[in-house]
Amino acid sequence: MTELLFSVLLFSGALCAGFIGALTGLGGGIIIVPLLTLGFGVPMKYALAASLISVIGTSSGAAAAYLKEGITNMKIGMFLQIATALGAVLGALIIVYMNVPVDIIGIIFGIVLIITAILTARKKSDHREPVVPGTLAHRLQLYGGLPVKGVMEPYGSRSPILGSLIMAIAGLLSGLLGVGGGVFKVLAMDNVMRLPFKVSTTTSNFMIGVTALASSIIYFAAGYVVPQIAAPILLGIIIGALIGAKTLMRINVVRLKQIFSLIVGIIALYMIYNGSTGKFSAKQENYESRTTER
Amino acid sequence: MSQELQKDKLGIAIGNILRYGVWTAFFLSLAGLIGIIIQHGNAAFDPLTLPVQPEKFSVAALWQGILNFNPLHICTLGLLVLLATPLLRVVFALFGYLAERNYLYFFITLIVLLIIGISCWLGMSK
Repeated sequence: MTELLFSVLLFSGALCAGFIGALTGLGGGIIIVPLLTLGFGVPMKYALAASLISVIGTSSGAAAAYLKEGITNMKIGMFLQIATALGAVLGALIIVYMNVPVDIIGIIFGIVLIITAILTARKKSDHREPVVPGTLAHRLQLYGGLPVKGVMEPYGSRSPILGSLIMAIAGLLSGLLGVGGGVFKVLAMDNVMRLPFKVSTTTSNFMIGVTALASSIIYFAAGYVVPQIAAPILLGIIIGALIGAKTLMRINVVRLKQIFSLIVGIIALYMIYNGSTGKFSAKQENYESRTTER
Repeated sequence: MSQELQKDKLGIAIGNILRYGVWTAFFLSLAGLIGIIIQHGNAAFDPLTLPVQPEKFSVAALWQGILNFNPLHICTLGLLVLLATPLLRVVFALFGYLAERNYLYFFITLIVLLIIGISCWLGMSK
């Protein structure tokens, strides 16, 4: 394959990933890694690095729009960031400096994808937790106001420690699998800390950039960020996400999310199948032998 | 009320940082990629030949490449600008909380920065 064709194909693939990611609110990270590894034969660590870079691109773009609306809770985001960043650094260190078999990464990726699909398809409930002075959540200033029809409705939160624990796992998965981990972040804020749904989703998006930064620095420094792979992916996903956001208002999102959950499920099974039959490592060994021949 | 307004201003300012950062990164990496394609567009690129143990990232090599207008390094610079965008956002929040005299969140933000710093140090030194 020539350099030009490779770039165009990666760009087109990332365009689709960004488009679907923006429509479903899942970001494109979970599609990029299967696309690069299984579709183009990119070695796992390089694929994870390129995916993390694209995650920063989409989350920063979307976060800019959300911040303008004033729903994002910066304090809650910053507090939980301690846990996610720690998890993300640990995840990246494990991948870059420990010899984790690539097939195992593929299988874990598939399992996490299935959990993601289930969590996305599940019904959401909107919470409104009272602000109770004296609780740990209150002392940590984990409350805020949500503008509803021009009036500020106050909301509180609970269980900041359990929330942080789940956030640490979300960060770990982000560093290990090169994804944003938004679904797990929303789970912590929505189901555990009982924040209003809109606050959970926007704050999660706001956090993803920093989480991905903490882990991608390690991939970057180790040399796994290759411009020929990362740049077309980044460019494609940004444009795709922009088109997706513009299309969002005109279509039925619920049906789309169901279809997407199905697609994610199929990709997940394919990843698990490839991992358990050793396809990832077969590719790796193939190129290891070829590079040592030179 | 005035305090609410101030917080909103911080939010909008941070939103602007994110927007400009992403677009700067976008155009730098686009320019770099076009340069790479012009120079090596017809050369073969096989991702399977990427080294198992790549060369570590070097600031000196990047700087040298940018001075020589090497498209590969300009592309890398674009990706670095992208990484710097969320970092700048955290730094901005740090000063924002200091101005608000919210020392609890000044401290929390400082911890987040410290973790990113340690990550950078671990990555570069190992």
